Amino acid sequence: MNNEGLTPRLLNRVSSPSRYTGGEFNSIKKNWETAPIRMAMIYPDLYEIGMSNSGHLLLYYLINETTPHLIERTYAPYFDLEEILRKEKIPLFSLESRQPLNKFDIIGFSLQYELTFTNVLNILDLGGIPLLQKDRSENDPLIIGGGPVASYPESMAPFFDLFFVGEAEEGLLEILNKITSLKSKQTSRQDILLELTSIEGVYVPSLYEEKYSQEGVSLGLEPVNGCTGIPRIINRRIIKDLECAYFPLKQMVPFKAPVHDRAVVELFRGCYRGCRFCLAGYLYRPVRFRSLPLLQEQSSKIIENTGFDTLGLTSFNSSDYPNLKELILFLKKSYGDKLTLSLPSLGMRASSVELACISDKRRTNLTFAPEAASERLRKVINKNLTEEEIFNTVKETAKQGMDLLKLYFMVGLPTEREEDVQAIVSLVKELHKTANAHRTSKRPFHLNITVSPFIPKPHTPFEREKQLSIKDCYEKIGYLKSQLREPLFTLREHDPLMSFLEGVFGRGGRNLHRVILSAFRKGARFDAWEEHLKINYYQQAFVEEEIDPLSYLEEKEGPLPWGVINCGLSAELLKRERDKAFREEESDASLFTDI
Amino acid sequence: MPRYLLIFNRKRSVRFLSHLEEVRALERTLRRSKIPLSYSQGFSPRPIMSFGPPIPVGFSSRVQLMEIKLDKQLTPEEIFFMINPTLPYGYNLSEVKFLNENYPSLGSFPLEISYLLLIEGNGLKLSINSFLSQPYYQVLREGNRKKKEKLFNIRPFVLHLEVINRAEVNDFLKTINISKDPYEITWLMHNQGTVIFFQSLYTTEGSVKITELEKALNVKIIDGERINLTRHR
Repeated sequence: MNNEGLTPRLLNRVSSPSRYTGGEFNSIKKNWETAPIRMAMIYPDLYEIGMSNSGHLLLYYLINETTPHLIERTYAPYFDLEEILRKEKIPLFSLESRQPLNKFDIIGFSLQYELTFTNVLNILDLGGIPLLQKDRSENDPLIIGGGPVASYPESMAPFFDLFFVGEAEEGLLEILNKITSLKSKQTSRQDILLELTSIEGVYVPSLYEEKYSQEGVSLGLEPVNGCTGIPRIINRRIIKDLECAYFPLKQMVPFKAPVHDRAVVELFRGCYRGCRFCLAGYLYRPVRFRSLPLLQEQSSKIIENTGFDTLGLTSFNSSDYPNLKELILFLKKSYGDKLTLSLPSLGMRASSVELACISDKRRTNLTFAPEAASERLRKVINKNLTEEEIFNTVKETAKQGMDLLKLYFMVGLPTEREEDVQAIVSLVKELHKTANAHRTSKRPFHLNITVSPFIPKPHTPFEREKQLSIKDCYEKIGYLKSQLREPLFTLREHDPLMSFLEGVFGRGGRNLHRVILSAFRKGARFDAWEEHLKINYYQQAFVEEEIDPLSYLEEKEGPLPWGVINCGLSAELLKRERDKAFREEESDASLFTDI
Repeated sequence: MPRYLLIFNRKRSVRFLSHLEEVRALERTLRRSKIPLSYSQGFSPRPIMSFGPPIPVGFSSRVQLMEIKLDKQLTPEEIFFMINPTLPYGYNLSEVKFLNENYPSLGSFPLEISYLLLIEGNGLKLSINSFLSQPYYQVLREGNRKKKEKLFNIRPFVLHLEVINRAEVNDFLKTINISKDPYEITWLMHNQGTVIFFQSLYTTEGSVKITELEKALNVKIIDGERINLTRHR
């Protein structure tokens, strides 16, 4: 088949063809015939969103550059392409060789959050692959899920052959090599899955089922009867030494502009903080650094190899990198104003403002996340941020000539009282006064406030907490909107309907997969896009499947659906942190010890 | 500062890039090539470069123009060999010309742009002739924040329109002194439709968009290639 011949015929009819052409500078097209294992790497959202996620691209380069195996990319097709593919019965293809997805040995999904689940099903369906794991035959690809959701994957478990829990660099290589040797011995699909469980971090959900006590109380997931050789608990993997770890220096240069259109270096992995609501802060411990000389060398090479004029210095809370100022000064000295540095995640302190200003002197705005407005509630969530520090940061922001500050707050946090929500109003108003009193910009200072409903996340101290109902979210956000109005303030919210779905599917068990399947069949796609989210599809699906979604917002008791996965911190530590939260005590998260 | 005119062709998948995407891709190519680009002064320095007329998404081209300034004089050959290897797949540099100081800048003089268009269906001669016989053809151009909606006469910007017999495309290209391109000619062989030679005038006062021509002739353009671009005299 002349695969390239497909291109113009299809692509002349879609709104944004450069999403699907591939061929970006530094993309890699390997010989299809000679690769031992062919894997498709999928980010289940639009190209321009996926291209901003460096995780799946890191694995793409790792496998393509350092092994004989082949990885090609696919992203979620937009509605117009989906319609053409379905009408003309063309299977969804990879960007590099334009091969149909069902011709690959492995399909890997990057699972970043719950609102991409229906896209996962759509992609499998368009790729000609049976949606349910139990319906797949010997010739179908193995479907692997990775990313943060793989650490609490139960609501998607029946669609996946396996999940990889944690950082996949080492584990993916082991999986590919093991499959290569098993395939040469004509091993069956079932036996391949069984063999793969010996790789640390691999979770094969079909080998586990929920067990009950004689009284009918759930005991959580355990290996299915007769399956004795597999681990009872799956330990999440991390790579020990970031300094020696692979990092791509020839990064993708997309044609269609991604949300974050830049090259990236990764300063460190993990997070120093232990904010009690945050999954990332607990999933990727301990903190591991790259040294300053290594980052200097990598940055220079990446800029040379890509031609980007922006470099992202990425990490969780990148201002926690001890040599950040030196790195910024080095890059400024080498490239001057021809290179813009972006610091996507800054801790709220006055010194961050200074760093942001040196890294980009054209900057007119900054973003911080105090999350809670009262001193008390910030202690509950272990934010380690005092009111004094907040005011100092805002003063400094205004002094440095900026005229816009974006602040993130949450509603519905554990122990939240009415006065904590009111405190958002008074704090924001006070901050606005302070900023205007110190501003050096000619324009009046503006505050953008984003309010998100708290979602209890698995593997965090708050994993069992209650989540606000949709109605309560609207009420609290409505109150804030009435108090913080234009023109001085702009208040936006994370859609409570989305938070609701995230909370339900995040903490749900396997039976919820029926709801996701049903919503997909009704037409749910791109649920993270406000203009595309059709909540009624989900409402109908819950009714039809006789599942009460509200029960998933309640405080959770007993075994947890993700109990089979160990994220490196003991249940006792999470319990202790939870107790401290209710006593309004802070912790030094750098002292958390792994088990 | 020495100025150069670069002539690219775009084929295969990069023909699907929009003008803006092409500009970004080529700017990054120049950064990678390490040629000593001149930058604008001021708060946010940008490479000094300008581009020829935008091309519709989906069209291939043998004549994509770009003008650049360098801090240091290099020979056109040096520039050619620095840039060509850093281009994305589908782009090729076909020519680099050194521009005299008094040569007018790109965009300051009118251009004649030639296209081969592949059009759905047959029997287009009538509609072409009736279009060409009129001195006016008004189209409604939508307004935006800065411009009001207005009627615009596109007829003066259509210099030439002619149906080319499929079997005679190569001969026709020879008569206008253009050699055939083996890859791009394949679409003619693989697709049904009528081939049209279209020459447009591109000036600072205005030009005709391919979509406007499509509407005026009441046809559907399946494919297109920009084959030539010259200064209008």
